[in-house]
Amino acid sequence: MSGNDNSYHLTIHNDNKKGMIDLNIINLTAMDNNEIGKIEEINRCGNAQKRLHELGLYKDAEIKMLKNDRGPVIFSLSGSKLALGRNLASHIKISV
Amino acid sequence: MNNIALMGNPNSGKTTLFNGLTGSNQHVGNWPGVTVEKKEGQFKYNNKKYNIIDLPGTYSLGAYSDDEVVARDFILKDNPDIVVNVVDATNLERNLYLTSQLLEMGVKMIIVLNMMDEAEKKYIEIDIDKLSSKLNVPIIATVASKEEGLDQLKREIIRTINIDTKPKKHFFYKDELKDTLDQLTETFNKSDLPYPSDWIAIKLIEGDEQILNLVKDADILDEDALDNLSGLIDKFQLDIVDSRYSFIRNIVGKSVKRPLEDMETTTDKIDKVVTNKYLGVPIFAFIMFSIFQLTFFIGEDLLGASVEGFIDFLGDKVFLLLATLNAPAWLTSLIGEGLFEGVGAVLEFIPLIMILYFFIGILEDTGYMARAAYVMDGIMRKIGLHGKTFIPMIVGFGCNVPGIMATRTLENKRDRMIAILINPFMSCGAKLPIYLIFVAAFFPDNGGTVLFALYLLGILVALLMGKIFSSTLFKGEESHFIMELPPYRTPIFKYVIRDMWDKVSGFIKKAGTIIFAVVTLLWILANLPAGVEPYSQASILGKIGTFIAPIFKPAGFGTWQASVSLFAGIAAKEAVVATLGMVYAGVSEGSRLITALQENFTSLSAISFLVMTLLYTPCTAVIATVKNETGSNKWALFIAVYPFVVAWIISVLVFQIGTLLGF
Repeated sequence: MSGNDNSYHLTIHNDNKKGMIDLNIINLTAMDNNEIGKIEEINRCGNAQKRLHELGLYKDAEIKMLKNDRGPVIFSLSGSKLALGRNLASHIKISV
Repeated sequence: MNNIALMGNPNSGKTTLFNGLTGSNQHVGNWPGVTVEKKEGQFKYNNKKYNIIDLPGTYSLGAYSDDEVVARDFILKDNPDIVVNVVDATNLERNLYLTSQLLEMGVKMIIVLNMMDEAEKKYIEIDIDKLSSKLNVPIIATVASKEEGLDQLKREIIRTINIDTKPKKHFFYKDELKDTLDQLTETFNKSDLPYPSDWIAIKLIEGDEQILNLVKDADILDEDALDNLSGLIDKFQLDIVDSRYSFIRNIVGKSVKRPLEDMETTTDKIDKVVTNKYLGVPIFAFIMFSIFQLTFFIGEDLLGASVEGFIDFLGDKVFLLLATLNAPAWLTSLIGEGLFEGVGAVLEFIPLIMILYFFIGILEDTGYMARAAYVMDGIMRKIGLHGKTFIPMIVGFGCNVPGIMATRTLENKRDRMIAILINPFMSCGAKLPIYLIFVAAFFPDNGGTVLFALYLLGILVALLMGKIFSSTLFKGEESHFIMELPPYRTPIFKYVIRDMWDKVSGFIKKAGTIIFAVVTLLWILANLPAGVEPYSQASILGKIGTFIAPIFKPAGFGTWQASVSLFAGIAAKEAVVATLGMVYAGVSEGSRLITALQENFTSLSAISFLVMTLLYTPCTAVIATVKNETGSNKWALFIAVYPFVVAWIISVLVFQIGTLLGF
């Protein structure tokens, strides 16, 4: 796993369904190349937050990580390709 | 005449559509009070003319950039007869976020579903009728790059304009949020604000700064109400975004089918190489280097030289004509020599500017510019600058006027100011002849090395000053890197050329008139008082040079002639070589000038002179551009003074240390 920052396992018992739901929530910066995930939440990051929203980065949006080695991360989101500085990207929590 | 507002995300093909609809019937200006380009054009249908305004591309109608404010003010205050919302069919969800904001404004609109060919390639299926009925807005499918669907679009635009009924405003909010918005709307209904009250209510809860300030200034809400508002914003701000996306996802889910896995496209394959952590920067450097070679070769050597020859030829003819007409000698000289000097200084430079704008246009339209910013971000960030800062720096190598204007892509004001202030250190094309003549005189065998060293020094000083500015004058967080990387597309050459002409004519009008005026003025100063020998120490120009000469003594060239030439360079860098020639040898070029230089400079003082030329005060056109782009006299003054200080310090150091070392 690339950089194990802020990754944890969340196990939820749901009484209405059989079995358990397993949610793995990690930072956007911790996604592997070609990994797909859903945006869980975006931590407060000032003015950039509005910018992220209008670019399609919002709860439940599906992201596919494309490049996560050095410099800003590049990922695809509903048909567009975005590059995000690592600092900002670390504010975004993804469930994989 | 009916007004049509064109609106849409950046990279949605909006401008291509605009070009397709208006052909060559368009012109570019500026929105008053802001440095945002205003593009207007017309098309004719059934003998009736229609006016289209291409609003700046925006992702939303918030208020963080001049672009967005210009766009939304145009819709709400100028009341266009219809809004044509261009949407990228391959990116529907994101594009519809802007659409949702238009829907809640209740404007008469049509949606253009563009780039249908790309959608097809990605196996995206859109049920246009369903989408249209759910949004309650007519939708026309187009492929603007191939001019497909334009005729149908024109008809639909006209049909919709002629519908009398006003569209219903969409409202996405429920329950508590709805109640809050309703209450706020009530409050504003009683006041006289320049925007619809329900829209103001939504914007306020969104946290829109411009609207918040508007409301505060109008004194409608008291202290308590404002505090309350703060709380409401905290509580509901995200719900607004949430509601819009729910609406969008619901609709898109029902009308669009996408394949489960996005296939790797050609764009992805190219990006694998171009953004590769090892190859990215070298590839970028190679592309930039090639562009420069081409720009200088075609622009300066090939075309520039022919323009120069033509101007000289024309000038001689006019001079002769006036002389035969027995015009007074001073008039003959003024027009035949002075004015032509001024005109020449501008026109000789135009080919270079043209080629430069051409290549920049290609880089932008293909989508590579975004990758360049990405690739340079790492290096730029270490100096406290944004990746996008590098592009204006590159443009500055051609000319600092477009270089500084290119800083408009930096939305963050701090990033932008720093980029503007360091741009003059990127050695512009007009300085090259100065370097070349000194190289010919003193370093004929090492020309390449000297040139490279000078350009490198310019870059280093620019980066150093960037670092200094970012830690002092403009201390603060640099903005985050957020960029969309559009798919690579083949540029449409006729549009690139048209765009280039627009920019070149803008350059001629603004920078050109200044350069022309100042160079002609210089000529006048060199020929007054009446009867004095032109460009002699007794002329006004010569006297100015004598007065400032002592400043340059520590740098090794404290002569009135050198000072006069540097002074002339503030008018326009093109004037330096000609002035050097005139004051030393009565010629403006050639071997006599080279000999004169060899007699009046040493190798060392030549170097320190070149360093001064490289770094000092930029030309008046640049100073005027800075004033325009910043709207401030203070910064215009600063850009005139601080590079001189930097240049003086470094050239003095070079000369003094060089002397100590025995050069």
